[in-house]
Amino acid sequence: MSKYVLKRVLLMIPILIGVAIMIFTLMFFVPGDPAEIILGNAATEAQVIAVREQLGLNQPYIVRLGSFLKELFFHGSFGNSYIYGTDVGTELMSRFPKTLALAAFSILLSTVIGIPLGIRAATHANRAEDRVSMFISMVGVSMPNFWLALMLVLLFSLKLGWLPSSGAKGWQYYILPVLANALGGIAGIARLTRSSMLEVIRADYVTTARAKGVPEHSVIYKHALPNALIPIITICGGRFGGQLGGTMVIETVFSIPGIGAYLINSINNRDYNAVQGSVLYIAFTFGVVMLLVDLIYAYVDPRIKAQYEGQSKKRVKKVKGVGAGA
Amino acid sequence: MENNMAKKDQRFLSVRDLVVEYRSEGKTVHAVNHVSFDLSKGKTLGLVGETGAGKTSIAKAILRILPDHSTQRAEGVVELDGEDMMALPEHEMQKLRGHKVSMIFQDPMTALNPVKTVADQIAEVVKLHNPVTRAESLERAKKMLEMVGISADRAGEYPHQFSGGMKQRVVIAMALACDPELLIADEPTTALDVTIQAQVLDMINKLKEELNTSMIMITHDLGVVAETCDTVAVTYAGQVIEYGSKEDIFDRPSHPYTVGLFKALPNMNKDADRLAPIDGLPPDPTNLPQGCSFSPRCPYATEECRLTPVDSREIAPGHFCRCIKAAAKATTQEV
Repeated sequence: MSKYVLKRVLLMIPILIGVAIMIFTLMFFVPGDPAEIILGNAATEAQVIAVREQLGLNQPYIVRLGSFLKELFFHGSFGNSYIYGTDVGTELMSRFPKTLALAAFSILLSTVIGIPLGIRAATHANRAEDRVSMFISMVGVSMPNFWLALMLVLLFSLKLGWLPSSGAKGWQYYILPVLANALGGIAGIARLTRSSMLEVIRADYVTTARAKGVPEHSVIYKHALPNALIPIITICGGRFGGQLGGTMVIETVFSIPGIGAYLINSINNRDYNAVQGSVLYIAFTFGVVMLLVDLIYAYVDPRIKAQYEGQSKKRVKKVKGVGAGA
Repeated sequence: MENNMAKKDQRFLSVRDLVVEYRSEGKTVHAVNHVSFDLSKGKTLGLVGETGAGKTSIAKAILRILPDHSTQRAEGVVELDGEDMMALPEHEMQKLRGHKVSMIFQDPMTALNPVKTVADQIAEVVKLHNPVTRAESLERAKKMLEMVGISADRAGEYPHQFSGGMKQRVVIAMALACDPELLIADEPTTALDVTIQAQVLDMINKLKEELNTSMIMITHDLGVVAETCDTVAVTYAGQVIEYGSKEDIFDRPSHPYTVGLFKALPNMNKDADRLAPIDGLPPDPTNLPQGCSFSPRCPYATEECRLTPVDSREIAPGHFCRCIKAAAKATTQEV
C-alpha cells in the first residue's frame, strides 16, 4: 500500500512539469502585454520597452521557459507578481486558508445533507417523498451558483440585513458563499446517492442482511451504503478538488480574497507569474485530492485495496484445495 | 382421524394458502398461488420445480423478506411452532430471522457483502441474537468457519478472496451460526460444481442431524432431493401440484407433470437414444390458465381440466395430488 502511495506521489512530478510547460506556453501565446497594462494608456513606447527589458519579456521563448522551470524546480519559486510586485507563492499561501474554508465547509454541507437525502429518496423510491426531493434537487442542480449567490445576497444582506454580503473577516462572512456553493452540491450528491443506492439495495447481500434479522436502519446504513459510496466519493472528491482551486464565481461575487479571485485578476492583467503559480497550485492540490480519493476507495472497498497491492507486488495467489482445512 | 391428530402435534412449520403476487410493468405476476404444506421437527421438505415455479418466492415469503418495491400481495398463514409469523410485528420478525429461521441463498457470489470480512458477517448474526461481546461473537464465527471446513485464520479475509464453493460454505456457516430450528436452503448447490455439490450436501445433512434442524430444501435437482429429503412438494406455476413422502413421489408419482419429470431423467439401466421431455413451456405467471395450470402441456388434459381449477386431493394417506385423473384413480382404487 505504501508503495502504491509512493508511486502516485512520484507520478505527480512529471504531471507538474507537464502542466508548468503547458501553462507557460499558453500564456506566451496569449495576446496582451503586461508592460502596457502595468504602465497604463499614457505610457510612452520607450517606457514600455524599458519595463519589458526589466521583466525579461523580450527574451526568446526557450530562454524564458528555461529560467521559469529553473526558478520553479530548483528554488521552489513562482517569481514575483508583475502588478503587485509581491512573491506569488506567499500570496497564494495567504489566500489558501480562505479558499480552503469555503471549499471544506461547502463539501461538508453538501455531503451531510445530500447523502441522507439521497438515501431517503432511494428507500422510498417512486413514492411521494422520492418524487418531491428529486424535483427539488433537479431545481438545485439546474440553478447556476452565481444567480443563487445574487439571490441570497438580495434576500439575506439587502432585504433582511442578517448577513454581510462581501468580504471574509469572520465566520458569518462565509455563510452565504458556502450556502450558494453547497446547494448545487447537495442536489447533485442527493441524485447520485439515490441512483447508487437504488442499485445496491436490491443486491442479494442486502437481502442476506435482512434474512439475518438485521434491523432495517442498519441494513441501509451498514450493509448497503458502504457499497454505494464509490461513485459518491468520486463526485465529492472532484468537487472538493475543483473548489480548492478556487471558486472563481463565488469568490468574485462575495469579494472573498481567495485563489479563484487571484487567478481571475491575474489573467486579466496578464500577470504571467501569478497565473502560472495559481495554475500549478491548482494542478498540485487537485492531484493531492485525487490521491486522497483513491486512498479512501481502498479504505471503503477491500477489492480496490487488493488491486493497489497487486499492482505494486505481483502476489502469487495460493490455490487452496477444495476441502482445505476440513 | 387419530392419525391426523398425531400429525398435527408433530407439525413444526405449517404453511396454509400462501399467496404471493408481484407487480411488474403494470401486470400482476402470480408467483405463488395458494401453497400449503407441513414440516415436522428434524425433517426435510424438498421444494422441487422449474425455474420460475415460485420456489424462492415461497421461501422469502416465509421469512417475510420479499422485495418491497415489487411485491403487491403476500398473504397466508405461516405457523412456526404454533405462532403465526405473518401476523408478527416487524421487530418480532427480526428476532426470528437468522435465529430461529435462517436461509441459505442461491448464489454465493452475490449473497455476501463484498466490503465486510467473512468473520464480521457471521459474527453480526451471532451478536444480533445472543447476549455476547464482539470478541465472543468473532470467536463463534471462527468456530463456524472451521465447522464448514474453512481454516479460522482466513476469518479476516473478504469474500473476493474466496472461491465460489468456499463462499457457499461461508453462507452456510452464517445460516447455521445461531443453531436455527428451521433452515431454508435455496438451491444451495446450484452454483457449485458437482464434486463440491456432494461435499456441501454431506455437510448440510451432517449439520442438520447434529442440530436436529428442520429444513426446506429448494432445488430443481431430483438427485439432491433423493439424497436429502423426507417429504417432497413438487411446485408448478406457483402451486404445489404433488406432495408426499419421498417414496410416494419417487416410486408412485401420480401427477402427469411429476411423471414427466422422471421420464425426462436419464436412466442408467436402460439404453435410450433420446430422453422424453415435457412438451411446451411453463405458463406465463401474469396470465395463468383458467383451469389446471399444467393443462396446456398435459397429454391427458380434457375440457374439464382446462376450464375448472383443480384442488389438491389426498390420493393416499399423506400423498396429495392436484389432478382430477389421479384423484379419480385413487377413489376407484379405494372402492
